[in-house]
Amino acid sequence: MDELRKTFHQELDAVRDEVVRLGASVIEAIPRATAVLLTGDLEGADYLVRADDEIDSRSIEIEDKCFQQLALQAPVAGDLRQLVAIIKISSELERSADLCVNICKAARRIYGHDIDPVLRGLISKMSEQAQQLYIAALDAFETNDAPKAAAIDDMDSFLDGLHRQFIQEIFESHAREKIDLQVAVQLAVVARFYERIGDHAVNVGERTNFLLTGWVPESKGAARFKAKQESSHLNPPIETQ
Amino acid sequence: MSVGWFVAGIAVASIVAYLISRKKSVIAVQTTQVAPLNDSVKDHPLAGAMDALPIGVVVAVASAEHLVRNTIASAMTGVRHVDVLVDQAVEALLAETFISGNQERALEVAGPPTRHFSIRTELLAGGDAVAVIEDVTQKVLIDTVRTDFVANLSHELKTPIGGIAALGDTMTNETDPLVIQQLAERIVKESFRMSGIVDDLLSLSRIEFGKSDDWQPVEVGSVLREAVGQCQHLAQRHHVEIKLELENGAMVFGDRSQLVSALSNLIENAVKYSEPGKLVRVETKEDVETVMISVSDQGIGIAPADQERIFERFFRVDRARSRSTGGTGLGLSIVRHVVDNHGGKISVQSEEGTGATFTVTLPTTPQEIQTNEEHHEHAV
Repeated sequence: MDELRKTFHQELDAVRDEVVRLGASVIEAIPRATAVLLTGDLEGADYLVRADDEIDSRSIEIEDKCFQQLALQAPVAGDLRQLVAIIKISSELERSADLCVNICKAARRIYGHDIDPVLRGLISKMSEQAQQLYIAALDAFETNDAPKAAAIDDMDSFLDGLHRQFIQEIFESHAREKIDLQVAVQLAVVARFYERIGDHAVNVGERTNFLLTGWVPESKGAARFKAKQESSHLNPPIETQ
Repeated sequence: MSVGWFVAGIAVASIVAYLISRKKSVIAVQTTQVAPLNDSVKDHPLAGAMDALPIGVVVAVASAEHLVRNTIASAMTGVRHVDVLVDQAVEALLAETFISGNQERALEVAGPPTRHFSIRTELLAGGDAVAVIEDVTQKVLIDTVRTDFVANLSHELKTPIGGIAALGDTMTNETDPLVIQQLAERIVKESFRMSGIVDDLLSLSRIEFGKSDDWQPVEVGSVLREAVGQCQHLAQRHHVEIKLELENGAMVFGDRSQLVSALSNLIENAVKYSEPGKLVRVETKEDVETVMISVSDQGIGIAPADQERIFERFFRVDRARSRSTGGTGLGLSIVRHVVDNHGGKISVQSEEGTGATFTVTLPTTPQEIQTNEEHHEHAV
């Protein structure tokens, strides 16, 4: 039995390594997609779009391995949480890579249009911030650092602020007739992609926190809802005609 | 194969032979699949030699199914995404080596900053394989600078020459004196442009050559007043205000004309890339041993990737815009060389859309050194 458990933990470590590697590919894809957008690099866009297939495949492989371990080993407690969290983290990573592909596709749509320097600066900042969030989230996952994982949500507010600033700036640029409507719409969508990548990084942080502590932020709301349900069961509302 | 690679190859082969001879004990030492070289064979003199190599070496011991790394390669197994990607590429390449023989791959990691690695793998006698990882970022950068320089130089010199030839050709068949006048004016304009490039190239080579004979104690304030004065006309044309804020009278030891030219170059750039109504600030800040001169604008700013390259000769952030802003593409290169000559440093902080600040830090001379003018007054 000891030997079996050892094999299980080796498998688990291997899956964790795969998650870190998939994460590294996503961390790499963010600045690449930004460079594609800012330099109008169509070749780079094609490369990233094609590379996404590999990320999809690796994500599916990770999930398959997790399902296999769940079925064969029937893990409990911390081990079970690890596998469940990894399944979720893997899909967050895969979705983030898709968003990088979406940035590349937007770059194709606005190819040939100049982007206002203020907007370019903000795009660079959003990209940097989204990448930093992912670096922190995967670092927390790799090093089993629960406080760091819990702090990522707070770090995300800076990216949300940049997103709001960017949208405001698009309106102003459009009012000054410095930007086409088509480009403005595409860039607004691109900003949303960065903001979503940040949200996925926050989810990775939350899932990391869950696998270490068993707690997710939704637990608070869920507990509130249950308490409310129980109290209404004890004191049913008086029906009036 | 260079001598370096040959020596590394022998060293690797010897280490592997040693590992094979001690395979049982090595495997006993290993607790994980990956271990630094020192942990497993630290008593062998070649282990130290491997660790001293400036490149990463990973040996895949096929029969034991584990990897042995030297110090540099071990440092690449961290959690940073750059390390993870390099490590992943090395493992994939080693796996491929066992199937289809020696491999070579160039790996670019976006970072930031962007880094380039060269990974070569080789099958060894005994069925093991070795991967050699080299960080070639600097090499790639130098190659890019060299290639771009040749391309940009030919662009900057050939464009006006092509223009002059085309204008001259049109002139020979033209009879309308008004058109001839216009063509002649454009030929003169293009000639001045070329002459400007040649002048800048000559002054750059003079500055690169080193110290001139005109070195003397120079007051930073007077240099800046002169540099600002030279740019006032341009600033008025662009409706940009230049604000000069000086601290006391810091002195530096150097070539006054070079310093004026360098600082006026910085101020001119700040004005050219500012929109009408904006402000350019020129400030000084003194320290015990240095004086910091900063030139800040509220212009279009410089993208992070370009900030590393703007001091290269003929480097243009936006070639399309360079025609409208003018200049020879050598200005910032001259500035950097002047600052280097004076033992100083130059840096840039910028974000696209919010402006740029160029900061020049020069070593000050002791206060007791007087300027020539002051010395002259005392003598009188």
